[in-house]
Amino acid sequence: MQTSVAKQERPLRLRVSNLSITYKTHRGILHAVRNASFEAWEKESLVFIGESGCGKTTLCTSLVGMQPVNATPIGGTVKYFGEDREYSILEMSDKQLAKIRWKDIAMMFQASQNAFNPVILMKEHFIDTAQSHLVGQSRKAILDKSRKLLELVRLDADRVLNSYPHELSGGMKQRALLALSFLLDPKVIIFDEPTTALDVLTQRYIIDILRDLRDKFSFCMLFITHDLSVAAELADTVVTMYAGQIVEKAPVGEIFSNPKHPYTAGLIQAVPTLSSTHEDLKSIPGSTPDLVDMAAGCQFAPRCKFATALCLKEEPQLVEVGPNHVTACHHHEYIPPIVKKG
Amino acid sequence: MSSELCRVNNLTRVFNKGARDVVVLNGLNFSINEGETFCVVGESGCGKSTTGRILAGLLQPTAGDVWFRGVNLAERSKKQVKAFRKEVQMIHQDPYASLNPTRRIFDILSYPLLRHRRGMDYGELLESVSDLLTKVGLTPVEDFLDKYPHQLSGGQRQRVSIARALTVDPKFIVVDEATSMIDTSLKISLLDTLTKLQTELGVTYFFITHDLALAKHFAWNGRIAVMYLGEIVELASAQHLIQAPQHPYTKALLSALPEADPQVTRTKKRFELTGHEIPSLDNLPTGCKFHPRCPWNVKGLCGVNAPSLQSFNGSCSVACHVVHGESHKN
Ligand SMILES: Nc1ncnc2c1ncn2[C@@H]1O[C@H](COP(=O)(O)OP(=O)(O)OP(=O)(O)O)[C@@H](O)[C@H]1O
Ligand SMILES: Nc1ncnc2c1ncn2[C@@H]1O[C@H](COP(=O)(O)OP(=O)(O)OP(=O)(O)O)[C@@H](O)[C@H]1O
Ligand SMILES: [Mg+2]
Ligand SMILES: [Mg+2]
Repeated sequence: MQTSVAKQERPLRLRVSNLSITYKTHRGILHAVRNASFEAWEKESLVFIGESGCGKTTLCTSLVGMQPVNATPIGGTVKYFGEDREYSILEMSDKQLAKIRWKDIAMMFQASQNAFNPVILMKEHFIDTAQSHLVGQSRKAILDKSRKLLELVRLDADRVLNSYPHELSGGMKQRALLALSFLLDPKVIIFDEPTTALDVLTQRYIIDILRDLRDKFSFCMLFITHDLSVAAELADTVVTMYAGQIVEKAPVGEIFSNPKHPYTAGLIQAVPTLSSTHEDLKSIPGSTPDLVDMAAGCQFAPRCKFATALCLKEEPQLVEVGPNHVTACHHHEYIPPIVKKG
Repeated sequence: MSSELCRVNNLTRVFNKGARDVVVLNGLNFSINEGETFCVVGESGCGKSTTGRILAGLLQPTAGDVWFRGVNLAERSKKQVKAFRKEVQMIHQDPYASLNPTRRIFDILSYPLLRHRRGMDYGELLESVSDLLTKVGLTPVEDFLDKYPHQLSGGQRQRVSIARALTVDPKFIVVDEATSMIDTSLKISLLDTLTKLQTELGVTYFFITHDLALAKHFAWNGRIAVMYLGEIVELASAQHLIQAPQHPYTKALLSALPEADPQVTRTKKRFELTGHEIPSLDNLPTGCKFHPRCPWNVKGLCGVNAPSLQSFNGSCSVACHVVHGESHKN
C-alpha cells in the first residue's frame, strides 16, 4: 500500500474539479455526475465503487471525451498533465482528443464485449489502433507487440489474433481489450469493469500483471468495479459514488476497516465470502434514488439508519475525517468500524 | 420434489476454425433436478456459456443429447418446442449485445408478455411491466419505460435482461454471469428475488458465475460443477465443495478467491499451480488436461490417461487420478 508521502513526490496526471454532467431525458434533466473532484498521480490506482447507475461510467468516459452524445458537462474542468504540457479535456475538439486517446489516455469500456467490430479479425483491431497513432510502424512490429501483450493476459495469441470477436468467450474478449489498451504505452488507463467475465485464477493473475506493468511503465489507473475484493486487492485509493456524487474517498486500508459513509459500510457488509453464512448477508434496504426529480438533503438519507431531520434538509459536503480520508455524511462519527468475520 | 428436469448425455460441441476443429465441450454428463440450483464455475473460455446455450436450446450439440422433461430436444414435436420456449429462458452474459437496441424498455418487456398471455390490455401490460422493473430495482419506473438500452448503465441493462427472463414465468432459467455489473447490495437482493421464485414456484437454475462465494450463497442447497477446458472436473453439493474441495483445480480456485479486506486478500495463502500455461484448444494436453499446471502431476500417468469423473467417498464426483488413489498402482 502506497503512503501519501510517496504520492506527493510523483507527478500529477489528472485533476478533475467540480465536474457535473447531465443527460437530457424525456422526463427531464438527469443529473448523472454532480460536483465531482479528484486527483490521480502517476503509478496510483484509484478504484471507483458504487451503486449500479450512480454515474461511474459517465464520469470516466468524459475524461476521454467519449461520453454518450446526449451527455452535457454543465460545469467543472478536467485537466490531464502530459509529459510536456497540460490539456483541458472538456475544451478539446474531437480531432484533438483523438490524438491523445489510446496514446496518452486509454479506456477499456464496460461494453468490452461490444467494443470490437464484429466483421473484422482481431489482428486488424490491433493494427488499426496502432497505425492511427504511429505512422510508419510495420504490421509485423505491431503484431509482435500485440502477441506479447496477449500472452501477458494469458491468451493463445495466434488463435485470438486470427479470430473474429464472436468466436471468443466473454472473458477472452475482455482480456483482448485489456491487451489493446496497453498497445501504445498510455500514461493513464481507465478500466471500466475489466474483470466481470474472468475466473478467479485468471483475475488474480491479471491483477498481478497490472501491478507489475504499472511499476514498470508508471501509468496511473482508474478502475471501476463492483467487485469489492478486486478493489481491496488492487487499489491505493478507493472512491465511493452514490447518486452521481463522490461520497467518500480514502486509502484502501482505511476504507475497508473504517468506512465513514453509511453507503460504503453497507456495500462492504453485503459482500458474500466463503466464511459468511447464508444469513450474514444483508442488502441495503430501500430503492435507488431518483436522479431527475432529486430529493432535498442527503440522497442516501431515505435508506440510512443514521439519518436525522438535518439529513433530509441539508446536503452534506465532503469533509476531512482522517489523513487523505474525506466523506460526505453529517453523522460520520457514529459509523462503527467493520467487524471482521471469523 | 427431486424429479429430474433435465439431463445431458455425452454432450459434445465442436466449432470449426478454418480447417481445424476445436473441441469446446468434451462429453459432459449431468442431470439437474426440478427446483434445484446447479452452479457452474471454471476457467474463462472453458465452455460454460456454450453449455448454457445448449441447455436453453439456442445451440445444437455436435454429439450427445439433451433431455428435458424426458423428451430428447432433438426429437421434439412443434408443440413441445413451443412449450419449451415458454418454460426455458436464458439471461445472457453480455447485456450490451442481448437487448434489441431499437426497442424501448417497455417494448422489450411487453412483447414476451403479449406473446404468451394474449388479450392483455394496455393497463394490465403497464402494470405487469412496472412490477417487473420494480422487482429488479429499476425505479422510478417512469425513468426507464421509454428509454432505449443504450441510455442505460451496464448494470441497468443486466437488470432489464433479468426482468425479461422473468416475464413469462419460466420454470428453468440459465443465468450466465447475470449480476456481474451490479453492486453487491443490489446483487444480493436480486439473488434473493430469484431464490424466492424458486421456493414459491419451484424454478430451476443453471447458474454460471466466476464468484465462488456468490455461488455458495446462491446455491446453498444446490450443487456446484467445476469445469476445466470443456470437461467437468468436480461436482458436489455447494457446501461440500466449498468446505472440502478435492480436485487440485478447485483447490486453486478457492484459494485464489480475493476477499474484501486488503490485509487478508494481499497475504492470502494460495494453492500454487506449477504453471500459467495458456490452455490452447487447438492443441490440448494429452491425458488429464490439467496436468501441465498441476502440482500433483504423476509422471507416466496423468499425462497419458485421461481421468473420468467418478464418485469419491460417496460425497462428490472428481476426475483426478491422484484423488482416487490410482497413482499408487503404478
Ligand atoms: N445516454 C443516456 N441517456 C440518458 N440517461 C443515461 C444515458 N446513459 C446513462 N444514463 C443514466 O445515467 C445514470 C448513470 O449512468 P452510468 O452508466 O454512468 O452508471 P454506472 O455508475 O456506470 O452504472 P453501472 O455500474 O450499472 O455500469 C444512470 O441512471 C443511467 O440510466
Ligand atoms: N462461434 C464460435 N466459433 C468458434 N469458437 C467459439 C465460438 N463460440 C465459442 N467458441 C470458443 O469456445 C470456447 C468456450 O467458449 P464459452 O463462451 O463457452 O466460454 P465460457 O466458459 O463461457 O468463458 P467466459 O467465462 O470467458 O465467458 C472458447 O474458447 C471460445 O473461443
Ligand atoms: Mg457503468
Ligand atoms: Mg461465458
